[in-house]
Amino acid sequence: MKKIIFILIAAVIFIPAVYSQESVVVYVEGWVDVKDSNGDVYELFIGDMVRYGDTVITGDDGVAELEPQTGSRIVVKPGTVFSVRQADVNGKKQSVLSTTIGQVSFKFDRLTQEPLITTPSTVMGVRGTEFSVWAGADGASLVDVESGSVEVSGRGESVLLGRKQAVQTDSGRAPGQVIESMGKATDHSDWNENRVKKMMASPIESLEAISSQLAELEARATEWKSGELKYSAEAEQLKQKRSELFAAGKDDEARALDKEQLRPAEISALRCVMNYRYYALSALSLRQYILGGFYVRMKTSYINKLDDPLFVDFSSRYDNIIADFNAEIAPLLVEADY
Amino acid sequence: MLVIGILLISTSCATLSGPGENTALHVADLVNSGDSTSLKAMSADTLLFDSEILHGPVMIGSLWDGLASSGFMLKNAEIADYSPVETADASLFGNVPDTAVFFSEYIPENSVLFHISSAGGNFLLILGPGSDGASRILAFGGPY
Repeated sequence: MKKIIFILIAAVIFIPAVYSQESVVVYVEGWVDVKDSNGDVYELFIGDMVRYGDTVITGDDGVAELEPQTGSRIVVKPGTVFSVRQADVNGKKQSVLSTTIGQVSFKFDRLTQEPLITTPSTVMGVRGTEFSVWAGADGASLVDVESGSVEVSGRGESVLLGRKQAVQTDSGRAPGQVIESMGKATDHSDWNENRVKKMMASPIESLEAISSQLAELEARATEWKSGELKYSAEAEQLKQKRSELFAAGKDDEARALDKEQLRPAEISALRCVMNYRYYALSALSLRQYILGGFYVRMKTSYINKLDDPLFVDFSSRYDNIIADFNAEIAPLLVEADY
Repeated sequence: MLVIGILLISTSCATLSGPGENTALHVADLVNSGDSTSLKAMSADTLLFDSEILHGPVMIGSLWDGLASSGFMLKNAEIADYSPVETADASLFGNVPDTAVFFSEYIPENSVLFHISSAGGNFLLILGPGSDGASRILAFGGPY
């Protein structure tokens, strides 16, 4: 209960940022649902708003076009899972637009605040541009720039893409070589089908790459959680000290402690909450849509030969990954996240 | 004893107001005929497969298309048992937070858990009423 209250306090404090960054839905075609931060799932219609904490899920025939208040356009293509999140980057709240699987095209005309764009394998910094992001069923990604520039980072390495340039990043790897743009008309399903074939041809290697991505997110989530525990404990001690000062009639000292120590500790704790939630939710998306999707493909492929040594090996490793996730990440999630 | 047993079964069945055995066997027929299109149409928007929560038609389509491509069948399918879904049934699909959340959040009232025995093993199927009143596939798992 204490954890839930703390998350709610954090949510209330960050509300101004939440409402300043919502996007209006300007076009919908086919099957498109939204799962909100309360865990409610509903059909998306033109005129609806997409807010922080929302995940847009499109079917094979689904397309959703979003218009953030900045006047930019985000087109969520068929077969996509796209989330709008928020993280604290260097002390500054930042929008994070995450494509877990599928294809999303972005056009940013006039940026008031540059968002971060992510896939399971990359983080992108945007500098006024038009580009597309493909996220494969195996956790790989492809970024293709139509105009402007995009910095693509993964595994501690970065490449800067200019006009008509693209880069592919394999799951758990740094971005590859910069290549010529594949064009706006590139079909995600063809690209993804090749990723699936590669994944199914070497399932153990692919599973290990996804596991590595998940472990990285788990490490960051637990690191921020430790920070939150540290600052919260510090804040509790300072509150006690403040009460003692007030009781002793040292009101000026109490107010100074409040302003100079207690308030900064509470703000630091809230930043930690925002970030451990961000990494925990990113890990959940990877676990549900990439790892879960991989499990479905493997189980259905081997359903008539479940004692095949390859499937037995896969299944055992998959169980271990799930056990790690449930030990490290599940305690940082709430029911509505699933 | 036999009479008491029959009475107990009758009482148990009489309390069921959700989808019946025929609907469950119809699902088995669709699986056996590899009719993934009908299975997709009959599926809820969020479906539990083993202990994985599948959100949306793409993931759910991958399940039914995958089973059809593998030629998977529930040969000689029979309903071994069925009962209204209870929260505790989540553990049948796996003792993980996902199954507990699914049973808490995504199973509507009057849903029914079917234990299907087949030549290929025992499977679990949950059917429940959709918003349009038609029966929806909510969960599938096995063999157990």
